[in-house]
Amino acid sequence: MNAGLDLRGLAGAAACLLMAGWALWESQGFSQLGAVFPRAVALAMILAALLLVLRLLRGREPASGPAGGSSRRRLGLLAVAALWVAALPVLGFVAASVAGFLATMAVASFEAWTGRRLLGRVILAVVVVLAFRLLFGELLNVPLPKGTMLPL
Amino acid sequence: MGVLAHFSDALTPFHLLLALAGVVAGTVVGALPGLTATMAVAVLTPLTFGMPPQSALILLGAIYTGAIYGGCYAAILVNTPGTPSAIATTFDGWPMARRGDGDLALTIAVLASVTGGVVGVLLLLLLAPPLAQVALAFGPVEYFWLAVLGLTLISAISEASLLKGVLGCAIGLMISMVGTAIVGGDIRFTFESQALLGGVNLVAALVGIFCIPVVMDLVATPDAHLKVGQRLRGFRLAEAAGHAWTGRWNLLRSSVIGTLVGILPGAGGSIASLVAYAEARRTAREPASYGHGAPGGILASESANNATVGGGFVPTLVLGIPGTPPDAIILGALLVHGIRTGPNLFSAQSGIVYTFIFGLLVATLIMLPAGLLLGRYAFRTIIRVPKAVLAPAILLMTLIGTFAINNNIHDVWVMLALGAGAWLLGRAGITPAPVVLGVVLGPIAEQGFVQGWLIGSATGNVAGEFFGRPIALAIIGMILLTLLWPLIARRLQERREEQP
Repeated sequence: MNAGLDLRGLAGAAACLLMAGWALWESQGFSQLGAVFPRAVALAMILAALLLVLRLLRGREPASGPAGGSSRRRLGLLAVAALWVAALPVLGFVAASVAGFLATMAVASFEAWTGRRLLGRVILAVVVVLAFRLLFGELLNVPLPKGTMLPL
Repeated sequence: MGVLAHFSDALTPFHLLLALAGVVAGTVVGALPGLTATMAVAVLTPLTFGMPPQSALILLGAIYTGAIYGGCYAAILVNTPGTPSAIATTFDGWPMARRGDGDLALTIAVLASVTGGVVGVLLLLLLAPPLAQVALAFGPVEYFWLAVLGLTLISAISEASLLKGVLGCAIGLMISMVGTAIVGGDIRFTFESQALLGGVNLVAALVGIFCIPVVMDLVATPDAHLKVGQRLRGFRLAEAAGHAWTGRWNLLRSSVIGTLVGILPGAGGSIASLVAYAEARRTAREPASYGHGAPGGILASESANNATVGGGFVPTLVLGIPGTPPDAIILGALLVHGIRTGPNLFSAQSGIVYTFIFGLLVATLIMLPAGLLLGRYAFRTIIRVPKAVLAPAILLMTLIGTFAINNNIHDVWVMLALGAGAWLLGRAGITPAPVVLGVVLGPIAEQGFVQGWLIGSATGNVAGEFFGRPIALAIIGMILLTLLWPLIARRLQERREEQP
């Protein structure tokens, strides 16, 4: 295997080819008016993806650099965010957000958690979430999620 | 009552206080990712119902201009446009902040915003009726070519690979097609989900694509979020003013572009800032520096988006057609106050209109000291808050902002999914900016193209419809100039070097 081959770039190009192929397939069911733009974009996408593959194979494209840092933390954050969103309609804005805020702090924190630090962060999470609740929910009348278990 | 009397009416302590409060409130709301200028105006409109009409308008105008300006804070400090108008600000603002010039970028942004805002208001004051005719001269084909002009930016914002930029833009265009087609009504790419019938909300897409990858990278390393010098260097006003003076033609041109695009109903600040950015890059001495922290990029984007405020009021007041979404809400507030917009407004209710325009001018000027202070505070906060607090705080704001768009949890899921997708694309070298460009410009390009094609087919002259209208030809000329300028510039340079 070529050590300099940009596998991430190739995977991206392959994903684009798949997406464009799917768009072309789906466009068969559209009216002429609705199909013209998706088809034009899909064809342009296929052309660009094929050119990219060619250039990547010939080593003429800059390689995609690896993302530095911890991928586990990144995926952890995504999981926490998903759970947070899932909890909003059930627990309501305040409870779900305090839990989500604390969990995100845990993912983003690189220091050891002492009892004192934990207490400080719980207080911080509660204060920040309540401040947002007051500012947006009460003062600005911005709609916030209400829970089936807790109304706030 | 003379014009000067209206000006002095705008300077009463009550109106000054309203202008200041509006600018500060608008800036704060606009700075939060997901909460747009439209939302800032909408949520604060009920406060104005008990006020005299001119006072209400001054407050709403100040909120609007403050919110458009406020979008630069998140764009520069977190790489997430606070409002869609600040998309182009991320291109150079974030690189400046990353290299330790976040304070300078914020000061440049406020200078540009004030300049753009003042130019827009002055053009509104002096040329509103003739400028309104520009809006009427713009048909679907002109909108299509305007969107294509914006798409030429791909070359500027594709960091390393133009092909990856094109792919990113195509993905953005695909995202913009999800839902019910504007022309024809086809249901497209919805995966049979009812939640996607209305399409992907632009703000949800913006927040997800820009913000989620930033927060994911934020938690991945213990390194500082932004570089900062050994000591804070204050406002760096003289340095920023120097950049503004050097880029004065860019500033003026972008402000005029912003005003003209603002006049076009449905175009708005995001298109204005993208078009102004493309022009600024094309005419820059060092176009390659754009996208890597060029102050000229911030000057172009921020002046253009704030100029749309004045521009947007031209069709709103003269024709009763809102130029931008916040204008539509302000138009509603005008009706609540019994003001009938139309060509006679400037004569029949001149007192209200001129006091409002002068009040908007005063609010824009107040934005300078208010913006400098708020910018300094925001910068200090961002660099001092530990990552472990910053990451959840940003996530909390994105959730609130995205949910509040339609009071719908589905938008939040879409935002999160697009964010995860954007991070994966980033791993393949496809950066968020071209994707967002496609999402923003896709609907305008498609609607303009299909409607132009229909009109051309009906009249039996499709080519004439697309290539035979004067304004369309002027925009096509700008597109060609933008695309071919690097070649022309290289040829001119070679000729100069050949000459003894």
